[in-house]
Amino acid sequence: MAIDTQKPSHPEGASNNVLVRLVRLLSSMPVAVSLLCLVALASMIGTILVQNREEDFYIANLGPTWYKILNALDFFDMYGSWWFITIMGLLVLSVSSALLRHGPRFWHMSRPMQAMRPWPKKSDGSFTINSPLASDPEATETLLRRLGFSEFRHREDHGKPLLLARQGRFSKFGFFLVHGGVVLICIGGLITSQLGFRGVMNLPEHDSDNRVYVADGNKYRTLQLPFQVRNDDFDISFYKTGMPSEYSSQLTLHQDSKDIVSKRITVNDPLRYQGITFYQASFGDAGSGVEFTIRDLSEKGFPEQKVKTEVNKVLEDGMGLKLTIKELRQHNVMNMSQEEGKTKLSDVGPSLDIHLSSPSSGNLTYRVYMSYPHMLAFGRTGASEMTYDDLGFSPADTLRMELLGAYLDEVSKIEGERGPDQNRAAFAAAMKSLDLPISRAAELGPSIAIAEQVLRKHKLPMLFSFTGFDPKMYTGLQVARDPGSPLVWSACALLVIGLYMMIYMHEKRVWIRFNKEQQQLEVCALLSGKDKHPLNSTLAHLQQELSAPTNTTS
Amino acid sequence: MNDTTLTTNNRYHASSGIWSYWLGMLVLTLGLAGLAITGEADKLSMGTPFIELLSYKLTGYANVLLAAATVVYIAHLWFTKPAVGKWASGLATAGAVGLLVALLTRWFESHQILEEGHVPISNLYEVSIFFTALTTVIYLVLESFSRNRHPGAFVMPIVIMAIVFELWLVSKGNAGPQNLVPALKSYWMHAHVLANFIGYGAFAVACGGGVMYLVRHRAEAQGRTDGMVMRVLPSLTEADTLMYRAIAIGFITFTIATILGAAWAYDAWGGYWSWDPKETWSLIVWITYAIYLHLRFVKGWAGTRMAWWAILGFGVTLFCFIGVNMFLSGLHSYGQVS
Ligand code: HEM
Repeated sequence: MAIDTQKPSHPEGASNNVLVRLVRLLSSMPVAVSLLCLVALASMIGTILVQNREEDFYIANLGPTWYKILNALDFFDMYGSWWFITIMGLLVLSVSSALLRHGPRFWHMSRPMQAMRPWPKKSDGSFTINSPLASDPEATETLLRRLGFSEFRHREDHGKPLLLARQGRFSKFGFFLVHGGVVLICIGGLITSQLGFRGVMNLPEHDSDNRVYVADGNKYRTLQLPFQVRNDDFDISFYKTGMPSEYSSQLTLHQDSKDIVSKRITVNDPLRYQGITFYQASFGDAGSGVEFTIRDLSEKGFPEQKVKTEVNKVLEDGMGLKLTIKELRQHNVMNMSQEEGKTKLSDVGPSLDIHLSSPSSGNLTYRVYMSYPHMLAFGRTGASEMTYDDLGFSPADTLRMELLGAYLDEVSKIEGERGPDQNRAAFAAAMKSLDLPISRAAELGPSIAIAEQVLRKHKLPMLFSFTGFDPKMYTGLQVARDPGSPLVWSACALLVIGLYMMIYMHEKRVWIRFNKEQQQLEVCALLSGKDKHPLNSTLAHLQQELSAPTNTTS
Repeated sequence: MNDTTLTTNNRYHASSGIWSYWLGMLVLTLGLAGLAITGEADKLSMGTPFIELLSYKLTGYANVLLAAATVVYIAHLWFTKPAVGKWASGLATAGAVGLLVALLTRWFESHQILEEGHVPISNLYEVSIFFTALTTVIYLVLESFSRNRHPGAFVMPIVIMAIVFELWLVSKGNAGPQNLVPALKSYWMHAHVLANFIGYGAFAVACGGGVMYLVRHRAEAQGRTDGMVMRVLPSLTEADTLMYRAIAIGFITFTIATILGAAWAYDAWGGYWSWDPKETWSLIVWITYAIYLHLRFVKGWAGTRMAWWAILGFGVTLFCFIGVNMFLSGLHSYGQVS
């Protein structure tokens, strides 16, 4: 008969084998807990210190000395640094050692009961009770089966029947699943980081490409896919608030002129092909065509110039003036409610952001609304908000703009005091210079007067009016190859199942000796488990059931 | 263990009654939500202001009930008559049911006042309400098994903290139902948030258990045998068990939550793990409680050290839940406080 003790069946003696000692050291609790703490602390660093930014950013924020030190230690790309990988590697080694060290013991415990084990010398609980079952081991087995016990051995002991019952045979399996799961997840991650990639690809509509840009620290390297990716159509829809509600691209993978697969991808619904996955990640302007006119307010008569160009282009006049076409927005949602606290959203239509920089007037950004050309919206560099004003008429209104120019010209000739009379005279002169009949003075006068004040107030060097556009969007794709992921997902499942087993499955063994003469049962139990509380009640419950079995058929 | 501890115990037979009670509460919640929704159905239109929503008012009433429950739970420490405890539980149950009804109503409302409705666990305000309700329910379920109503005085203050946080969000104008950015429209996301908050709620309960343990331990160390603390607080073993059980439930759900989050990230961003601050902090929370389980299972640690660990763990959890959104930035922009 096998000797059963609670001690491991392969007791660990002292060993001179270096490997054995290393495994024991690595799997020891102090080492395991320290490693876990170390991983937690190290990963914290990366959430506080912004990762993978450009050099200038760090130098500006930390100073050159700290930058040099931290950069040498890979702190700006720390999750890929040698020291972080080393810590993770040690953790994996430590868990693997635990598996090696404890595995055989747990394996042994999960085998079926080989033979009857003798009455234990030390137990977690024992009692003797009067019971109607005292003469019926078979009925007792049925009762125990109902209580969750699954393995039974019967024997005679000193002339009395003895029953051993066990449940939770596989409870220690959780240990393999959990720790094996952790190891496999890390291995999956390693496979992905070594054999996989994750990059971006920005494809304008109808364009085709096979180059993926993969981030490498704060730089990029290019990678060529074995096939071409074409963006057949990009589509975006908006909420009434102007926020994008959904965007999608019709992607086709093709080789030469032969199409392989085609799918409309949206956020959360990628295209997968041969282990490579294409995710809808972002979108942007791929150089939409825009048309606008410029009024140069610094020149006499406010000459007009028509421009046709593309978003992201820079226009220069060779004398230091630079116009950058920044952003085309097709929707601008504003709160048009007059009442405090209420919202009434309304789309005011497309706008174009133009950045102007010149030696005389500094830096300025204009936002030009197509449907509201008389609105002036601009921000000076450094100002957090835009300034809005109303010119009263569009800068494309040639008649009024020329009149305004002529009027300002006349006003500048006034010498001495400037009053209503002088203004009126200047306006009449301006009308005359443009051959306008004086009968239109009442119609044009007030708007010119307001516009003059607006211009004086803001001292803008130029005015723009936005006349047309032809949108051209690119779709921003995230492209990834992730060969480790099937392993990671399976390991996650193992981990969760294993955790459940470890926490809620306990091995319970019960010995019962049947004393027929005195109508008594002698009971003794061995329990394994972390939470002694439910085990106490298990015993109490057992005692109750054995002394007065509830009717099984009810 | 000796025979005297094995007194007959009705717990097993009582448990089916407890579960049918909670099933009844669930049916009640659904019924009330149905009433609230039908009552409000024709009063809503696109853009109805947040403070006119029924769900907002219901949340307010429920929060008042929870605050009252907290006061009564604390009073119960001195006024130990069972009736006081029953009032506390009753108020807390009513408050939790109220919050759940409010959330269900808000779900319906979001379909009426937004172009596209969504499950009401999509922004920080909604998940805070959800956290409040879940923590209360998890506690009440554990309470209904233990029949000891005193721990409420330690768990409910955590609920009050969450309510204060909700009010702060309201004052910052971050509370109304909002349209979802495309990445948030995913079933993974809903399952992820749900599991996460069961985990957070359980860790909160464990923290309450830890505080009770420490208070009682101190009193015992001072040799006290009588007085409020000794009379009302669960024994050290019971408090320790409460902590362990809450952490066990929390650890499993939190593990599931993190995996669901990874699955969501995998579909939305093309990688299951990108070391974004929220992800990284979940890992830190996970490791904190994994260490707790090892120390307890393998080293057999229990008592004061573990109580401190449960409290520290909840601190880390809180940072992961709120701190990350407030102090660190990342892909989880839906939680951003502006
Ligand atoms: C540094 C890495 C780790 C090492 C070296 C390690 C080692 C161990 C060892 C030696 C045991 C004791 C088994 C026994 O004698 O019963 C154990 C138990 C356990 N470990 Fe780990 N572990 C590690 C990481 C983890 C992680 C990350 C988890 C997360 C879920 C985990 C969950 C558990 C649980 C739940 C138990 C209880 C097992 C039981 O006693 O039934 N371990 N671990």
